[in-house]
Parts: sequence; C-alpha cells; structure tokens
Amino acid sequence: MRLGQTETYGTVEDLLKEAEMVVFWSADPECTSGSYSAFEGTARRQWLRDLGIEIVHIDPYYNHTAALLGGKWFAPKPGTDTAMALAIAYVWITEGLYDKRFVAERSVGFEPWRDYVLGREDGVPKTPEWQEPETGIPAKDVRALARQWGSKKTYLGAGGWGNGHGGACRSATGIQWARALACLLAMQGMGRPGVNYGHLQWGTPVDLHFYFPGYADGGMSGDLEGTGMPISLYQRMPQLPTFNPSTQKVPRLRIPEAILEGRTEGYPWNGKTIEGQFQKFSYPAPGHSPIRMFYKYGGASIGTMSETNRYVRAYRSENLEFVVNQSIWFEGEAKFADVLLPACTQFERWDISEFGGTGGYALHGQTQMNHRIVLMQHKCIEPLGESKSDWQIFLELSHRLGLGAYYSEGMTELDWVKRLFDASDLPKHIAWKDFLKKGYFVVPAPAEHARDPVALRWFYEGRKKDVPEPHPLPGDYGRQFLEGLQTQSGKFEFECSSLKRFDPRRSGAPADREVSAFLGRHADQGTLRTLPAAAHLAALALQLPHALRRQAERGERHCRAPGVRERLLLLGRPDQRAGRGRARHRGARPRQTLQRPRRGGLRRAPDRAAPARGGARLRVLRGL
Amino acid sequence: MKKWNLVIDVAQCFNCNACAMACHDEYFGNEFPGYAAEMPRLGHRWIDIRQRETGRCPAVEVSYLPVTCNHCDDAPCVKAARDGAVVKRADGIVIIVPEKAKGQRRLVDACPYGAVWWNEEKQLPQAWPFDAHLLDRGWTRTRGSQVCPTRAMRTLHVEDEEMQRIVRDERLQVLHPEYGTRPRVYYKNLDRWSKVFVAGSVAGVLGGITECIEAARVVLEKDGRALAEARTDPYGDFKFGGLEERSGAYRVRIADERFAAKTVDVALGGSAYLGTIMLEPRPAPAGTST
Ligand code: SF4
Ligand code: SF4
Repeated sequence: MRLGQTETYGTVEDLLKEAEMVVFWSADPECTSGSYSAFEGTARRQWLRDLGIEIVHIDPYYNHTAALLGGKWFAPKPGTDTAMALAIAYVWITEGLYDKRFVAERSVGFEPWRDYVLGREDGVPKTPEWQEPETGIPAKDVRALARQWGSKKTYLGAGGWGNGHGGACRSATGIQWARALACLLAMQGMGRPGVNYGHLQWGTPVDLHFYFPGYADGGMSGDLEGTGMPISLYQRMPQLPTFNPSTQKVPRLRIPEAILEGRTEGYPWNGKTIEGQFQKFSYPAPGHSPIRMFYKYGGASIGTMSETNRYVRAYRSENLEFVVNQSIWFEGEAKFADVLLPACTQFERWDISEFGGTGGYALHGQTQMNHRIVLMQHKCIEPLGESKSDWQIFLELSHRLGLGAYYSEGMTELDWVKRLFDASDLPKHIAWKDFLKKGYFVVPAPAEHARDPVALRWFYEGRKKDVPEPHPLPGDYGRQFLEGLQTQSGKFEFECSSLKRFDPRRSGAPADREVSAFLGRHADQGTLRTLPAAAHLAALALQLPHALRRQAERGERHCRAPGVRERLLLLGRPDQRAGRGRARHRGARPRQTLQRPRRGGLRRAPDRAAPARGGARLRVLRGL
Repeated sequence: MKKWNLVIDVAQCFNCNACAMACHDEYFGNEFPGYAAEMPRLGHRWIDIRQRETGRCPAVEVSYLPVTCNHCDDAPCVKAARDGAVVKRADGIVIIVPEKAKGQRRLVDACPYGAVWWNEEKQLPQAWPFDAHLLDRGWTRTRGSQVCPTRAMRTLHVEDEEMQRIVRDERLQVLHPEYGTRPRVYYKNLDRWSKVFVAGSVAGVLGGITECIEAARVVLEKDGRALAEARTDPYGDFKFGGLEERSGAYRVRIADERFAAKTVDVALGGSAYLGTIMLEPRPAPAGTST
C-alpha cells in the first residue's frame, strides 16, 4: 500500500514537459535513490540541465546530487527544515502566491493552518526572519526561494524517492517536516500540470499492466496476512496458506525493550489505513509467553536501527535463552548467536525477480526503471562450505517439525521459480525454456497513447481516481468509490481530522512532544518552542509512514532525558558540526557518523559479543 | 588505422565509482595472460576517482577526476622498461606484459601520472590495460564506459585525425600536457577540476526589509580590465568561473540603479565566496537636501 507516499505515475513526463523548477528537499537520489533501481534515475536527471529547469537543493550537506546537477543550495541546520517550510508558507500567504482555487475546493482546514503560520494563534508569526536563527538560512534567501517557488510550476522532490520516502522524515522531528511539506505542495495545487511530487526518480512510462509479483507479494510463503499476496499473487498462484497464530508482535525497534524490560508499547506503522497508525501495540500480549528465543533472519539490526547498543544488551540478557542467526555473512550481529545457520548467496541458488519490483510494500517501484526487466537468477555454483539456501534451511527445519511436505508442496527450488514464472505475465511473451536460456526479459514499453495518467491530476481536476493502483481499499473511501483522497474528509487536510480525534489536546499528542526536539538545542534546555498547533495540522493522505511511525514510537521515550540526548548525538549538535556547510562525499562520511562510536560502544560491541553470553557457544549446525 | 581513445567528461562524473568497480570485477580474481595478471583485492585503484572541493557554503563546487593509465603515445614507462616489458600496440594501447615485467619497480616511478601500481605479492607493476583482452574479442567499449550511468566515460575507436577533430570540437584536454607524453585519455570540462571561481550574494534594503537583489550588474576586473560581466540571479547570487588558482588581485564591481555602486577587491587563492554584499542607498543628489 502506498499510505504515506504519493502516487507517482506519469510524473517523469509531466515534470520534463511542464515544470520550471525542481526542489530537492532532503533528497540525494544520486546517492540514496532508495530501492533497487541502481542509477536508472541518474540518466533522466541529466535532462534537467539540458532543459534549463531550475534546481534547488535543501540539505545540510552539499550532497552528490547537488554536486552533479548544480543549482541553488540551502543548508539548514540539521532537523530545522520545518521552520524553513513554515516561513515559505508565510511568504505565500502574505503575498498571495498560492493556488486559492485548489485550497478552497480540494482542501479542508486551511484557516487554522494559515492562522498558525501567521502567528494569530500563538503570537509568533512564522516569518523568514523568525526562521533565520533556527535554520541559519538568511531571511532574504527564504523570501527569494518562496517567491520563485510560488510563481513557477515546481516539482517537490522530497526524500530519496522524491515522493516522500526517506530523508529528513527519518529524524526525531521528521513528522513535522513531512506534514509541512505536504501542506506546501497542497498550497501550490498538487496535481496541477508541472506541480507534483518527484525528482525523476519514480514515474517513468513503463507498462504496469504486465504482471510480475513484487518483492513483498509473498512469493512462495503462503502468507496471506503479512504480505501483499491476497491482493495480487494468490489468485494467480494458489498455494497452501500459512498463518502466524500468535497475535503477539513486537516491532523491530522495540525488541530490545521487550527482552530487557519485559514490556513495551508503541505505535507501529500500518500500511493499509490512516487510522491504523493510531493502533497501539503492547507487549506482552494477554496470555502469551514472554520472548525466550530469537531467530534472527534478514538485515542486521545493529547496522540499521537506532540506539543499537540496546540490541547488544538484549542479546546478552539472561532473559533471552536462545538465539539463532541465519545469515550469508559472519557479520557483527551473527556473533551474538548460539546457533548459526549459514545461508548461501544468490549465486548459489535458483531465483527469479524483477529489477526495482517493490510490490507488496511500495507498489510499482518499476517506474524507477527506464525499462522493466525480469531476471532469471541462475545458480552459478553449488553452495560453498556448509552453507545452504534459505529455502533449504527452512525445508530442513520443516522436515524436523513434520511439516516438510507442506512447506515444499513436493517441489524443488527451481520448480517454485517455474511456478512463479507461470503465475506472472511472462508466458504470454516468452517460453520458459527461452527465458531460462536468455536469463532476462525486457517488458515492452506501452504505446504513447496507452501511458498511465499523471499522478493526482484526477484529484486536482476533481475527477474519479484513474491511476492504476488498488488503494485506498474500496471500503476506505469516505464517499463514492474512487472519489477523493484516503483522508476522512476525502479532501486534502491542512488540519488532520483523524489525528485530531486521536488526541485533541495539543500537549498530549505524540507529534506535539516531538516538537520539543524539533530544534535540538531547545530540547536540550527542556523548553517547548515553536509549532505547538502542528499537532493536528497535517495532510494525512500524504503523510510519510516512517516519519509517523518513528514519531509515534519515539513519542513516549521522548520524556526520558537520556533518550533525547542520545538522539541529539546522532543528529549532531548544530554548533558542534564541523562538517556543516561542507561537501559530503563517499570518501569521507559525514561527521556525525564518525562520532557515534566514540560515545557508545557501537564499535566495541562486537568484540565483547562472544564472551558476553555466558555459557553460550557459537557453533555451526552441522548435518542439517 | 583506427586507434583506441578514452574521453572522460569531468562535468558528468559524480563519483559513483561504477567504472572502478567494473575494473575491479574484471581484474580481481582473473588473469589474462599477455594482458594483465590478477589485481590484488585491496590497495590498487587502476581507475582512481580523485576528488576536489572548492569554495565555501553556500557557494561550493565538488568535482571528480577519474585517473587511469593514459596509454601515452610517447610513454616514459615504455622507455624505462627492460626486456620489452611494456608494449605500445599499433592500436594505441599500452600493455605492461605481466610475464616480462616482474620485479621492474622502476615502471612505478617512471609513470608521471601515478598510474602504475605495485603488486607486492607478485612483485609486479600493474596498470589498467584498456580492457584490451575484451576489445580484441570484439568489444566496442571498455567496461568502465559500458557501466558509466552518465556516459561520462566514452570509448572512441577512430583514426588519429578524427580524434584530433573531436579534441578541437569538444575542447578536450589531457592531464599535464607539459609532460609531453601525448596521452590517449582525454578530458572534457577539465576546468571544473583545475579552475576556481569568485562568487557572492548581493543584498540591499528595500522598503525596510533586507532582500536579495536580482539582476544587479556585476563586472569582474583584473588590472583595470573587465574580464567578464554577469547579472545576479533571483537569490542575488553571481559567479565567475574558469579562473586560475592563485592568480592574484581581482576587483568586483556591482551596480544597481536603486543603490550606490559597490566595489569589492579579492586576492584569489582558491575559489572565493565573498559572502553577502550589502548595497548602500544612493547618496542623495546634490541640492535636494535642505
Ligand atoms: S600513463 Fe604512465 S603507465 Fe600509462 S602509458 Fe603513460 S607513462 Fe605509461
Ligand atoms: S562510472 Fe562514470 S560517473 Fe561513475 S565514477 Fe566512473 S566516470 Fe564517474
């Protein structure tokens, strides 16, 4: 589902034909394009220069995209972007530089947003001068930017994908940035020709009617609950369904607390509905056993989560009796395991996949590609050493649980690849044996007249939704099927109705508490400044899921002083950031990354890993 | 006859390192007798992406320069080699023959570009052999130019006369022409790597508010002579590029009819960002004051 990210169809063509300016805000697609599409977007962004489309970068770092494309660079202090966004809105409101028809007809809640920006509510007008001490960006520059943006057809590329994924939303206060940016684009009439989300990373005119399952569509898992399978794949590839009967679930960020403290709670991301964001989980779930065993499979938590010494402590805790780690590499985290199951690489097993196919999680990631390419992943060599394919490891375990035949359905790995091939649209174009031999298939591009409509144009023009995505789910439309956004009003909400229902008290909402950390230094002083009303000012249809999840999950932790400090350390105190204003490049990573180990035990942790788990021994399971 | 050349556009290189990775993929774990011995896993960068930062926030430029063996037509390494260990092929490619070059550390010192790497384990000097083993099998591009996402790296197989025409048309340059080695690796937009700039932001008070001053006329002078002229953009910014490093004193004159003319002097070392230049109100014309 796409909750939190916008649709992107047709935006490459629309941007190149119509837009006069692109704002890359916390967006470095040349370095962090996001998902599985290599440098496909890089070639397209060259055309921005060829066409003379104006380019603006807003990022504390002079990032790779800025270095390559050039343009005007604004370097706000880290985490202060929201103040800059509010000041832009201030200029637009006071100088009339926004789409008044769109705001009147397609949105609700503009008045409280306007009053907040103008300072009628809290006596603090969010002027360019007001933001200057917060962001470090001169007021005159913000005014000039607001005027340019307000008078030119402008695409907003927010985050690495350009449609709101990644970037500044992944910070302590990212939710406010996400909401403010959604409000900015709404003020400019999102969906108007030349006005939309994106920076040419998504939205190519590839044929999306050709079906090939995405990486989160469930594959051979039979999992109808935790994957995209029930929407797309199951009908084409019926298989033995599987269900996890336990209703006890702990989001990854909260696993250390669950193990160490025995209880935790928070608000995990829900990709299906807006209101799902307010669904609280708590651990332990009623009647369930506490966690005693941890089966680690997939990317390392210590490399990707926040405050990762928590994971080190959890692995060492006596509360956790048994740890299994199934990995290709003997990475740092693998060393915490009692039993290690070495998995082979993709070169040692059969598989089939599509380049950039993120379906089941983020639909139609293939629009990052210049051509859709489905790949036959040949097994080049037998698995090295004692390693086995993940499929084989799970099969062996299933055998021991008396489930082997149900798991494999009597098929080999290559049989499953063939079955997925048959479930896709590939057989309409290429025979199995030819595909095996060739190793790939390039999906033909659609005829020009058959290209998909431009994202959000239907909404801008007040028509029924006409882009090829199955969400919101039919029951989630407020009025008629296909009419309006996923918000409760069906309109763009400057003041967000569901969030207001969730917690109308300004000081109580998780979003509000985050605001105190909004500008790092203020959080240090324990003062609450700026943006109080933003607790329920938002455009939920366009909210960013990661931001929202993080904001919610960090909400309660925010009360704890150490949490705040540690987070500040991760962000880097603006006044300590020697690297600010200097170029960021691959050779020398930004400073705050280098600072992290000094403070915590991040670098030292793996050394301590082995002896830490008492009598636990590290061994490779033999003879599986 | 047609010969091989490589053209690298500095303005298009963004440090993705795909070419360097492709080179590593080709030569690490593989050996091509007569062309190249195996490259060590670590330490060698046969295609080396160098980096330069110039200016200061917010006027910054970063450029990348892929440096590799230049396959010089008048190659010092060929002269320094013993026993025919370095061969200049008729198609322009220079090969350090692995079977003959063992122990010849002198080749590392002979190359003025630092393009020869010493393989300690094999006691062998090594450099990028232009993927000659692939070209000889019918490839038309090197692996680096095949993978380059921005086509910053192009392989050209043309007659020398044709190449000279391309050099003129595209204003290509070589690294250190003063070495007299006549490289076959050419660079486009090399100024981005070697030259510096003077930039600034022009502002003034209008209606009681400090604003960026757009369309002010800015002239860059050296020794009293105008070198270039520009108009400030909507952010009041101006920039003069293509200047020589450490080229001494320059004068920047700024004129906008609403303000008094302003002059800023700068002694150029590296790139200079002059910061925000505030224009003052025009002095009241004589006779109007009472
Ligand atoms: S660059 Fe160095 S190694 Fe290559 S041909 Fe010229 S002198 Fe020889
Ligand atoms: S592949 Fe191209 S853009 Fe990337 S580093 Fe090499 S020359 Fe530069």
